Amino acid sequence: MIKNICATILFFVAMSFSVTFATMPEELPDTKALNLEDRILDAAVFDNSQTLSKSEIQSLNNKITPIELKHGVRIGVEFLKSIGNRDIGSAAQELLRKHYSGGQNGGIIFLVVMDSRQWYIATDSKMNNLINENDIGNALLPNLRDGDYYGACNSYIDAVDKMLTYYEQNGAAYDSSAGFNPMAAMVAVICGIFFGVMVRSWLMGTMSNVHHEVKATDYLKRETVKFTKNKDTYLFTNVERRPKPSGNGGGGMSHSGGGGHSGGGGGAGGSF
Amino acid sequence: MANTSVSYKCPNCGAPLSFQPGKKTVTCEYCGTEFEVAAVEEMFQAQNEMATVALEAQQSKWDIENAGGEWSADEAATLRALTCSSCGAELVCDENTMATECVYCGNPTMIPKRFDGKLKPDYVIPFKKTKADAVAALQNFYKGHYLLPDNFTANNRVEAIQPMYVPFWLFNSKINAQAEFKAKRIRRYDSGNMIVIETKVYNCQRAAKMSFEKIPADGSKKMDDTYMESIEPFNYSDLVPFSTAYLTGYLADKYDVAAEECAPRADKRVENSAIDVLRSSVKDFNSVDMANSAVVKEVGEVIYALVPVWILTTRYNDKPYTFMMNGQTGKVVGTLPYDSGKAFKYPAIAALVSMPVFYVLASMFL
Repeated sequence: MIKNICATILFFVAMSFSVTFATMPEELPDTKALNLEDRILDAAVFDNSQTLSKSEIQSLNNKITPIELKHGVRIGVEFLKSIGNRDIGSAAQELLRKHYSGGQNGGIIFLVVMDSRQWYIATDSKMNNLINENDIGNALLPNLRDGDYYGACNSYIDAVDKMLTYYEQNGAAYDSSAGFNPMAAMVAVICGIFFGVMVRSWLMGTMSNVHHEVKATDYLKRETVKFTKNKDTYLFTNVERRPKPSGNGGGGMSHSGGGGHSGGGGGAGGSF
Repeated sequence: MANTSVSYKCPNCGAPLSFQPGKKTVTCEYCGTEFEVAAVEEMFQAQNEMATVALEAQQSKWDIENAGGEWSADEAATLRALTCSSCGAELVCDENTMATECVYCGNPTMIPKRFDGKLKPDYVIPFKKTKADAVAALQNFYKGHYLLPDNFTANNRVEAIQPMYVPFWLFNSKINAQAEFKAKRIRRYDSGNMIVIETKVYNCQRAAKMSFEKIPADGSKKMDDTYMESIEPFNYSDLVPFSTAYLTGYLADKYDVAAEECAPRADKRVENSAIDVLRSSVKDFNSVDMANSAVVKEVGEVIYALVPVWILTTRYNDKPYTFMMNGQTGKVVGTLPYDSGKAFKYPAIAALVSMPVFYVLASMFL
């Protein structure tokens, strides 16, 4: 009897633990505390996926430190093997908050998850006003797609430096879309000409109201309409199935602007 | 020489009589005496009969071989010479003219032979709009057309304004229409990682009886069918039994396109509208396509009527522009000239102004 009661209690305890773990977010690796051999305390680059060599990590750290000092920001790069089922955006924001906060002018992290081949750039609220995450993403994506991860990190650091310098000089965040876009210009010209043709066609149409009358609806005596047959017969059903479009598919980017994540930061990411 | 036409003159003062738009009487514009339509008809009946006889007598003498070389046989066949009963001048009109105006003395003139027997219209819609209304309506019609040449309105003078009763056939028909439609009901829902689009196809059969009343089709070759269809609709509550009194002061033609020739136009319009009625009853579907249809006419009646039309002609760059106004409702139809410069400038401005907007939109996606 006592054995049965103990078994029941154990079962419920086990169930409650499993429910608790299922609802809790997966723990991210503590990149500062656990793997000191792989990173120097307070250094900017961490890699637990053995993607970057030690010399590459050292080189990136050496490159980041003077930029951080120059602009008064924290810049992070993290390569993780996996983050389980967690959303990469929230994982990046958590790592940013934990390890790269405290910069006078804000912080930024470039997170790459190797098993799911996802990347994300997260910024805090201060940094979000200084740079454009999408433009940084555009700068590093070609390297990522080529498997040149060290090159992607360098592109990321260069882009951050360039944009912060731009902000300091111009008082506004760099926005590549503010520059001339030849493709958009070509589309605009074609659409403009098409619009002009439509306007001309409409204006010419207003110059005449002479047209053939093809119906006699004005002369129908509505009260005389008597339906003698009204039958709907089901014939067949066609079923078409299409895969749902993927939000991050094809290396595209998703972006949430200021306030998109906790702390009022922003981010951009996708697959590679 | 006997008069072949009849001038409707005031028995009180001898001035020409005119039917005034919007009134139910014929009024002498000079002495102000008003006459009931029936009274005018009775007064001039005897003169009409005599003029008919005189015209028959003259036509029997018509010999195109003696007409000399000036007119071809075809031309001579379509021309008729009449004498004005007021001033005696010779009036030349075509074979369809029922009422006209003497070009010398301006007297309204009737040719009674043209509305005898089967040629007599059943009904007439009297003019409701005056000449002033027509001119004002035309000026109003010019407004709001951005491509209209500036000097068209600035120097515009109406070259000719003619009120004319146009012969129309009015078709009454009772029909039995049936049609089959292929209709689709589409449902879209998510199933796991897939989007499922389910399309249920139905065959919808509809049949109905319905009646159409007085579908108009002009019976005059002179009048452009498209213009005549454009001035529709007419309000048939103003339709009154035909009397020649309504024609006085106006031009009027008898029909020269038989009802049988006009009927296919009316039938096609009936068919289109009947299919619309059937289609409108196929409800709650995402798309409806007609598979086949049949419209059978059970009863078809034809009425011969005269309807009032103002014909206004203006000229721009030596090219005449004709506008027509429904003499009952005041609806004006016509084709205006356009300024080639404006036709290029305005669309170009629209294109240039829209380009920055399109650029911003395109930049968001490219």
